[in-house]
Amino acid sequence: MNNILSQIASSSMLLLPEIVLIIGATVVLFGAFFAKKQTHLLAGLSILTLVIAAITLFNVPLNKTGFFGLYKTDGFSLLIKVITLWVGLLVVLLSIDFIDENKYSSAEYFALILYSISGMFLMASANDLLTIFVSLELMAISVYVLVAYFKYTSISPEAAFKYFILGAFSSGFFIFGASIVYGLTGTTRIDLLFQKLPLVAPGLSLFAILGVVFILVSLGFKIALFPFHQWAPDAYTGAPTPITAFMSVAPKAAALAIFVRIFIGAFGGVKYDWMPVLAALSFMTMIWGNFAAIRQQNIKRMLAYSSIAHAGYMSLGIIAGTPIAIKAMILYLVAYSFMNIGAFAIVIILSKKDGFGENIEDYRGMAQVHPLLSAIMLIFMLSLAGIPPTIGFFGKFYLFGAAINSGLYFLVTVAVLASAVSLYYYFRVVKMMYLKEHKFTKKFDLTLNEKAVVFLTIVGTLFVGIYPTPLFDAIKAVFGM
Amino acid sequence: MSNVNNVLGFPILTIVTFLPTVGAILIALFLNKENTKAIKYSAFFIAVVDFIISLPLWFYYDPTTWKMQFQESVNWIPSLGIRYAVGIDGISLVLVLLTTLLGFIAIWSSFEAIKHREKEYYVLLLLLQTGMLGVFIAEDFFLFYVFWEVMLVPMYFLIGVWGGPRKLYAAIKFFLYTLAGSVLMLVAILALYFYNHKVTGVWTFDIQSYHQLASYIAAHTSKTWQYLLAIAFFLGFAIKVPMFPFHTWLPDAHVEAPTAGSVILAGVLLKMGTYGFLRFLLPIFPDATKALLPYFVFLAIVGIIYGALVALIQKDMKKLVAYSSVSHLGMCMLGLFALNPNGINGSIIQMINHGISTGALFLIVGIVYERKHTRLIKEYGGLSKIMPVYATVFMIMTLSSIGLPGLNGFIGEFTILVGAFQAKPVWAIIATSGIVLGAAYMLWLYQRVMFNEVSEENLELHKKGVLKDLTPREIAYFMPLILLAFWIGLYPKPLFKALEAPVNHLVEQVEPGFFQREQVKFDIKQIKNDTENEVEEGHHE
Repeated sequence: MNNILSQIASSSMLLLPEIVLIIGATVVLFGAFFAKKQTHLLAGLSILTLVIAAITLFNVPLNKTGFFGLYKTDGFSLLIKVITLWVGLLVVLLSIDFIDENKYSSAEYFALILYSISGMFLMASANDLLTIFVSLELMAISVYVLVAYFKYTSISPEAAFKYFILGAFSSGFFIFGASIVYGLTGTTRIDLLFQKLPLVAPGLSLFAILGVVFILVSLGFKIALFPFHQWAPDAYTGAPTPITAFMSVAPKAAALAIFVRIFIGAFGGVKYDWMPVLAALSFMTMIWGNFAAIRQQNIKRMLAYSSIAHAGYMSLGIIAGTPIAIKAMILYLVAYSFMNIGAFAIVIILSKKDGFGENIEDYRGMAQVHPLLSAIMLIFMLSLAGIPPTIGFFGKFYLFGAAINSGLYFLVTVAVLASAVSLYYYFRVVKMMYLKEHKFTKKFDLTLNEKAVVFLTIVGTLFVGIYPTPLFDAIKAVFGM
Repeated sequence: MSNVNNVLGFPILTIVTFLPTVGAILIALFLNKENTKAIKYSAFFIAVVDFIISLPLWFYYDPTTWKMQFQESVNWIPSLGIRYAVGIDGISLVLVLLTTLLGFIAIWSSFEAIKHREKEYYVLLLLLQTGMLGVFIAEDFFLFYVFWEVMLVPMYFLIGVWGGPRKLYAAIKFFLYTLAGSVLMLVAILALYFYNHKVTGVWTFDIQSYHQLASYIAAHTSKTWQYLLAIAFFLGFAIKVPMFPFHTWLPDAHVEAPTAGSVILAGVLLKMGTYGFLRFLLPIFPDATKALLPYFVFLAIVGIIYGALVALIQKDMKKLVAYSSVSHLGMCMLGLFALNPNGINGSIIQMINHGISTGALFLIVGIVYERKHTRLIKEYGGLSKIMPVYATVFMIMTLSSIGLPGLNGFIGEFTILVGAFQAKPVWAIIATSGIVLGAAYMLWLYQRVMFNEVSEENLELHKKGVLKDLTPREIAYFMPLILLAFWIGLYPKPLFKALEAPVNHLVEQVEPGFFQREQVKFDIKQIKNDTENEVEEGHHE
């Protein structure tokens, strides 16, 4: 008994960042009672929480397990957590004016962002199928509510409902798959599964395949792989734009983390049984995401399909499965967080008051009136398409290189050609901004926090694109290879 | 860390390459977009300075060695073995000089033609120049690829903003075509990178190390792997050149681009493709190249004839010149694939010639377009009567393009044909018909535009001063091109000398033992002659 208590007490130290986040979230939530619209105060509290979480995060000892092996801190989880914190920070900054201009309460909004980040933290470190499931739900439910946040519009609740129904299904798939795997092996621990699963049956029994496929479907839904992506365009379009930006990166990073944990960690021993399936999904995702994006008129919808395509690229890292490939996938996530949040920041700045700027047509002639902001958007679009010298190019270069190193010639060829296609739709925005002659009349102003987000993302996109060494070495140092 | 290794003692290549970018940034930051005069002249000034700074490369270049010169090297991403490494040999040298020359001519020629959004225009032209120069000087594959792709962006805008009626379509088509080819090349580069590491244990993108790996690749990897990689490189470069049947972006891009854009496209961008063949495909995959050679040559020859035939029926002058590019570049490719010193020398010289004469022809078309806003051949006629100086320049460049002896085109085409003949006489015989067709479409064009009667309308326009002869500025920017055309035509020796060592080295890489064999052939001939003489002498006795 004493032993258990002391184990829990010592493990709690590892959970300190999550504890900070949950306390902070709850404090912000209580703000709803007396400071519903004190947006700046509540956002400040949220940022403070994120900063303290970051400080504690860097002080948590690495490569420790706690709670009897249910929870694990390693370089990989640290990097995923840093990405989600970083995205959370940017999104809070972007949300301040967006939420302030609307009639909805700010308190729950920021609290839910913090709760979902704590869920993502747990996902990144969870080392057991059940822990993974619980933390996944903590994240997912917070995000469902955030998607539905503009409850008086028709589009936001509809999007959330679609997302929720399909999300609930996918959770069901996950728990069903996990129970089959548990039934076969008698454990839900990742590290034990790795050893036991190959022993269950040489070449895997039908049940084991069923369990693995169920979990694959569920996680495929979470990162929006074809054909489990249908929720994404609707949810992305309907959600408040800062939440769309958030959803496109942070939950995806956390879901990729558990994807890596489960498929490389737990199912790594039976790699050749699921790899072809995931390769086929990834192939279709890259093709479908990119080609479907071409036809979109709404920029949020276009970025939704683009994020499906990017998930396809990132899944190459899991298929390759080597440590270099996982590192490359993380690097790509970092790159994606800069360029995609940056692109969304421009959309938010443009469309926050009246929704003008959600259609690609709205960008007509913008370069003549707002040359700087247009140039920044151009760089984000170039980066998303993977044109040097941007962070997006380096991310793709390294990710595809790692995949080639594992012999995925065919998939990489598909990926590079698909990303050439992606240039077409990213450049539709550029075409509108620069090539179409039109009198752009919309006036807008940038607040300080929006300026900060644009500045951080553009500097990151360009600096890392030109000189990736510091970021690269930092990831290498944390990753421990 | 930094390492500058040249006779001049300062990083000349970096300065030449990045001066336009610095200039572009300064213009973007400090000049008001209303102040078009200052923008024009400062852009021109920067380009001229860039050209002048690039000239010492020619004078200090050591033609006795094939090794890279004026090298600079700085670590960029050390853990991946990526360096900022630049250097040039004779092949890069002539292309760098061509780029800086056409760079300032393009800017000069735009003074009157570009009437809106001037600031962006000149900034983009300068950025484009950095991209192009970077491609020719990069010694690191990663760096090469970065420049190769970066350069697409300014070109996209040049076509898309200042282009003709179908500019939007042409701009994105240009971008997507080239990008599709270059991403395939990226896959091949990455495959080579990991293969190199597997063999040597070194992470590097150094192009020379891949050259050294060539024979190992040929001996130790499967044919399929080699062919796939070679085809990936081939596609990347063939689209850029463009070779038939990947040329369809070219007529669109050339016709829609503003004049200066077409000059740069034809003069420099297309050469990046042929340069890629010379620098990468041939030396790294000699065996695969030789195995696939029949197909490559077939495409080159089809390009020569097809381009010429299509040029023959064009009604639009610019389209005609654009298709003539397909034909001329086919000729360059034929020379390359002859895989002997004559063919490759001729091909490189023809690249320069094409830059000069086709660049000039686009300027020539641009001049009448600026005046009358149409490029249809039937709208003109008899121009030699009202624009005599223009007619002279046009004549010189027409003759240069069709390869009249005494002008540059002849030297290039002749050398290519000699090389092709040495490789396989049939190639040369078929290719010659392309030259005949070339003479036909160019002279017919000249005849229709310059001779016959001047139409009432044109005479009226001439009287109004719209359809006027060349202005001094226009004459001035044609002068360097005309002088070069004559210089290469009459005294090409310095050019051959600059190319000799690197081209011979390249041939040795692709056809190891080529020169020994030639030597042996020569010796055998000599021995035969000698013995015959002896026999004859014996008879006499």
